Amino acid sequence: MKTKIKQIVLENNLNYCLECGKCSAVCPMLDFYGEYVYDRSPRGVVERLSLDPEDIEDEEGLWYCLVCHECTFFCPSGVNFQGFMTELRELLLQHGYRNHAVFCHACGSYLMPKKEFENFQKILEGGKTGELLSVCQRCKKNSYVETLYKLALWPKAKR
Amino acid sequence: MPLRIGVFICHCGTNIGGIVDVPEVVEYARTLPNVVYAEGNLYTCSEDGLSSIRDMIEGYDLNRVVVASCTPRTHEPLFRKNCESGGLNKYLFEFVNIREHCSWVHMDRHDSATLKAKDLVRMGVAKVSLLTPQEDLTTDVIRASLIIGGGISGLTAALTLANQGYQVELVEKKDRLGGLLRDVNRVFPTNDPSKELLDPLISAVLNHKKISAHLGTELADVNGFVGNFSILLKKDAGTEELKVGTIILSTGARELKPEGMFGYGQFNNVMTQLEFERRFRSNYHGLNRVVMINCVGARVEERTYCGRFCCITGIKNAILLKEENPQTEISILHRDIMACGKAFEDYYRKALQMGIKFIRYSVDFPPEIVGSDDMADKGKVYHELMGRDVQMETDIVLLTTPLVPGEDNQELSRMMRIPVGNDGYFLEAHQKLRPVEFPSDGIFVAGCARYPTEISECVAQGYAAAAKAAVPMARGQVISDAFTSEVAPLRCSACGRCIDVCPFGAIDWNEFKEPSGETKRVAMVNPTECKGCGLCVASCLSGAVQMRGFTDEQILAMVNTTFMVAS
Ligand SMILES: Cc1cc2nc3c(=O)[nH]c(=O)nc-3n(C[C@H](O)[C@H](O)[C@H](O)COP(=O)(O)OP(=O)(O)OC[C@H]3O[C@@H](n4cnc5c(N)ncnc54)[C@H](O)[C@@H]3O)c2cc1C
Ligand code: SF4
Ligand code: SF4
Ligand code: SF4
Repeated sequence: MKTKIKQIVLENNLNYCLECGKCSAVCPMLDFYGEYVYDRSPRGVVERLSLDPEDIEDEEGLWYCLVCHECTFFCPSGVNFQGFMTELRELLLQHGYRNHAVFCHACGSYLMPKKEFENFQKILEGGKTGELLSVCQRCKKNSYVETLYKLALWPKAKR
Repeated sequence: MPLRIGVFICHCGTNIGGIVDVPEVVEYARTLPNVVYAEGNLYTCSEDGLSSIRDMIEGYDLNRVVVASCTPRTHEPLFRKNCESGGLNKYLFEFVNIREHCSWVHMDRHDSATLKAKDLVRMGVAKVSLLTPQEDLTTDVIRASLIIGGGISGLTAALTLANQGYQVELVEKKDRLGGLLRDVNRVFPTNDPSKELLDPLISAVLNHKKISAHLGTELADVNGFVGNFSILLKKDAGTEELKVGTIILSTGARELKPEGMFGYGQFNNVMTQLEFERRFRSNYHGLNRVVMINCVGARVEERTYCGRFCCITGIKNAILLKEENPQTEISILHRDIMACGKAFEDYYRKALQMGIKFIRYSVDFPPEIVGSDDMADKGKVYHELMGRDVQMETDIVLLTTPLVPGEDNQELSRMMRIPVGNDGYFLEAHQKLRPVEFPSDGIFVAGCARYPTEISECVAQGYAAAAKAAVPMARGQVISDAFTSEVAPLRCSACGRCIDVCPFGAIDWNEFKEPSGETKRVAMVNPTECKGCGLCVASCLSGAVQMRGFTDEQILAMVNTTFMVAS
């Protein structure tokens, strides 16, 4: 796994970082979580991995990013942090590091980081909205189609 | 001949006319003693205004002219020349500034501004009455140039002048030409070997029939002024005298040797970038891990300036190492990267892409180099944001140090009376507008003697200095302003104060034969060297020094008339 991580660090240009800090300045983590620390910020992760691309463990800090693309958009040097995060998480999940993620209640596919999920629940004050969140887009679509079918509004041939 | 003064008062559009009541000032001027003509102009400096001055000189037989308008800085030469074409000696002209000194600073007080303009015009008229005709000074220019320092800047300047047909005397204190660049391996951002730039230049210089290269030679003394400098050279035990018209100073700079810092002098494998380039050329065998520390001795309290290209020098050596062996691990510990030069940012990016690591350190937590016996083996740096030390093993430590001023700068500055700035580099006449000139005419500067500059800038400045030096040599004569100081020998008490204060070295001792027949030593001004600054006049306790065009009599006449009330 380490060599694979090194590869995605390089593929997403983490070593192009100029240490300017623009990414961390535009990152919405502070607004979203109400707290923000260097180690979890894009700059913190980028700087650490530029020093040693294999310096990664199964840590919660890697699951705060919202993959919103802001940092990547603003980086003057072409560091693709959002792409890196997406690929890194896929890799971690493939290797069984599933503690920090939430999965679709219906089909079991990866949904979002646990931190992000909990925070959504907190913001939306739990209840039904929380339940809605826990199903992925595709399952939501399927259950919708299912309902329509039951109501005989959906022609059978199309299923 | 009786005085016949003409006064021309400018509106400068609304600059003056919008605040000062110009017609009223014109009326007032007509009442002043010996004023036979006065008029207002929309723009006195326009062709209308200028031709009117010429016509009135003729029509009214004017023998003195006053223009009250803007600033002599920009317009005095124009008006003087105009008086000359109108047939009047150009030194019988007086400039009164009623814009900067009046309308612009009293914008909201029209009445008082008008009163003040009257005062100023009255003072100008009082002074112009006492002016006497003067002649410009002309001196022949020797068509030869002395170039001090045979680095890339000096070589470029030498070839440029020699190709234009001027004799060049190139003085280099070392036994070989080339300067700093001899030790540089390859040059950023193209990575060409420095030899390829330098060798053709050196051989062109050595084989040029208009250039005589004085190697292993130093300057012993410089005397004279633009057009006519006497130079004394010393080589081994002997001396040689030369006569030149202009001088270009291109004595370069030195790399800082950071004694006692980061294990320099203690560990054999800790060295500066230049030492590395000289020692290793392109055989990097055995260098698998490299640590560089930037800003060593730069941007600190005792040396506040940035070396400007030393960041790029470090990046260059890192790229060369990495190209030789991509497995080499290189960490550059820096405070910020200065990559502001043509193609430098791309060069920096290339280094990032090659996997060279850049780690920022704070000046409050400098990196540490540790080792045993005489070899350093580890670098340690505190990462401020991570809040912890980062360590790296290393085979060699390169310290990136800035250039520091040449060791002869103070001596050269004294010898040629040219200024040195606070940082120890030569100080140009104007940072923006006169970057290769000195306040003293005929002496120019190029390259690292002035400030750390990379090759392309050194070459550009070499061309610039040569072009500037060619001007007086091409004209063959220098014309200087007649407003210089003069010593009345009978009054001079030979105290020497004026000689000490003159920043241009224009005053020297001379023998004077008194009416009694006795000879005495007196100060004498060389008008070609005098810039008319007036320091000597103010320093003389005997009142022996006077400035032409600003004599005590003329200035006191202005002062006396100031306190007459204008009505
Ligand atoms: C480590 C290092 C790497 C560099 N790499 C690059 C690079 O890759 N690319 C680049 O563009 N630039 C590079 N530079 C900068 C480059 O070397 C300088 O810009 C250039 O050499 C300066 O030329 P100069 O003629 O102004 O001064 P110098 O080269 O210093 O020449 C001055 C000459 O004057 C002589 N002299 C001094 N005093 C006297 C005196 N009193 N009388 C007579 N002669 C005197 C000296 O002996 C010397 O020969 C590097 C510099 C360093 C230190
Ligand atoms: S914006 Fe890009 S270059 Fe700047 S600190 Fe972030 S990753 Fe590095
Ligand atoms: S992609 Fe992640 S790290 Fe980048 S700005 Fe969005 S939340 Fe922050
Ligand atoms: S060029 Fe770079 S290494 Fe040199 S002083 Fe400036 S910032 Fe420091």
